[in-house]
Formats: sequence, C-alpha cells, structure tokens
Amino acid sequence: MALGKIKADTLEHSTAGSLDTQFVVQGSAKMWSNVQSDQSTQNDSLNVSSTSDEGTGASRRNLASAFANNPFSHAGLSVVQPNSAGLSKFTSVSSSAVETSVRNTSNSAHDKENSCIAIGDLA
Amino acid sequence: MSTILVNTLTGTSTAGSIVVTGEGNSTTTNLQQGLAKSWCNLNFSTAAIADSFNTASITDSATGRFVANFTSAMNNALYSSSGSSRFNLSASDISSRAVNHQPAAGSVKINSFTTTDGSLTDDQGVDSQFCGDLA
Repeated sequence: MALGKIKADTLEHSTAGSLDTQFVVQGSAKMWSNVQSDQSTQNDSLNVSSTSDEGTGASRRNLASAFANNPFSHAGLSVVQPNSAGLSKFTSVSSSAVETSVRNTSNSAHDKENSCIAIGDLA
Repeated sequence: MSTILVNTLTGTSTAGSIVVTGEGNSTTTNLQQGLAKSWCNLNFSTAAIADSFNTASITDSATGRFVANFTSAMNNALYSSSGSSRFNLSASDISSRAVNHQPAAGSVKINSFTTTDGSLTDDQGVDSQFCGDLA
C-alpha cells in the first residue's frame, strides 16, 4: 500500500470536539526518556540517539532530531522510592542534548532511575 | 482552512505509528509517541481528582501517596513521568515540597514528600504527566 499524506488545519471528532492541528504538532512531547540507575542504560525513549553517564546521579541524553532553539520547555522527575526521595534537575545543554541530575534530600548526587519529558519546537 | 472529520487516526503502514512534520519543516516526529498518555491534577488533602485524562480512579494508599489507575494501561512500567507541586495547602514554603512516581503498567504511585527529610505529606496538590507506550 502506498504511503499517504494528509494536510489539514483541524481535526474534528464526531462528539469530542475539534482540535487545530498546530496543537498536535506543538503540543506533543518531542522527547522523553527513562534511564536506569546507572544513568546510561535507557529503558525506553522517544527521540534519543544515545545516553551517557556523566557521574553519580547525572545523565546526558543526545537527541536524534534537534530542537529549533535552546532552551526549550522541559520537565524532569526522578523515579525513586519514597524513603530515599530524590530531587532532580533537568537542563537543556544545547538544542540537541539534555542533562539530568538527581540528588537526595541531603543534596548529595544520587544514582536513581529517572525520567524526563521535553516539549518545544523541532528544528 | 481544511478540516478532517474523524474519530480515529490510524497509520497505514503501521496502525500505531503516524509521522508528523515538525515545526521547522525539516524533521519529523511520531504522533503516537509524542502524546501524553495520561495526566492528572490531584488534591492530596481531599483525595480528589481535580482534572485528569486516562485516569479511571485514585486510591489513597498511605500518607503522601496515591495510586492513580489508568483507564487504558501502559505497555510496561518503563514510561517517562514528570510532575510538580501545584500548591501547598498548609506549609509556608512551597519549595519545600516535591513529587516522584513509581510506575507500573496499569497504575502509578504518586508520592508527595518534603525536600528536607523525604517524609511523605498530604498537604499539597500534585500535577503529573506520563509519556510512553500504551498496551
């Protein structure tokens, strides 16, 4: 079957309303990533070409498709057990890479599984 | 202006994969992969869902911990999450509160804790978003 392309400004559901397609493009997450506690093994992701351990609690994710600019909108969260509650920092270091840093409540670098989600304009 | 009247979008080559051209017109992204599959705004103090998507119910499982049950489950427990404090109901310093998640395929534990000692607390509202693969 040949691939098809549809160009449209609006998507309309029979009962649930309509949506301008700019919200589909601009409202979708362009990157998300879940890495294991070693900070380099990726569990699952979207738009991540490689991941590297940048030291205790720190991970760098390089993007397959870059954002149009830096910074872009992002949110981060560490995935940890509540008895070792983790705080996370999520920074876009360029238009094509992000870094996460996880610390414990004593402000010490902390190797924990963590995930992040980024939204913004692709290049 | 053009409008597509449709209840379901399905890829032709792969049903669960539709490519969308990015804002800069030079790259593409995957529609299904980029959509948030669930989000919720919970008031931990009143045990209420203020607003949500793909959240069937919540269970108050402990102080500072709710389980949000998905209507449509995720494919595994390896999805990405983000979240933050919406408001602090009693403490004077909102920066002293944080959120984390413990994901499972059909549900997610949402933990609200103090940044000073990590103790769980019910005194805030919590926003959460989840991206990943649906089952």
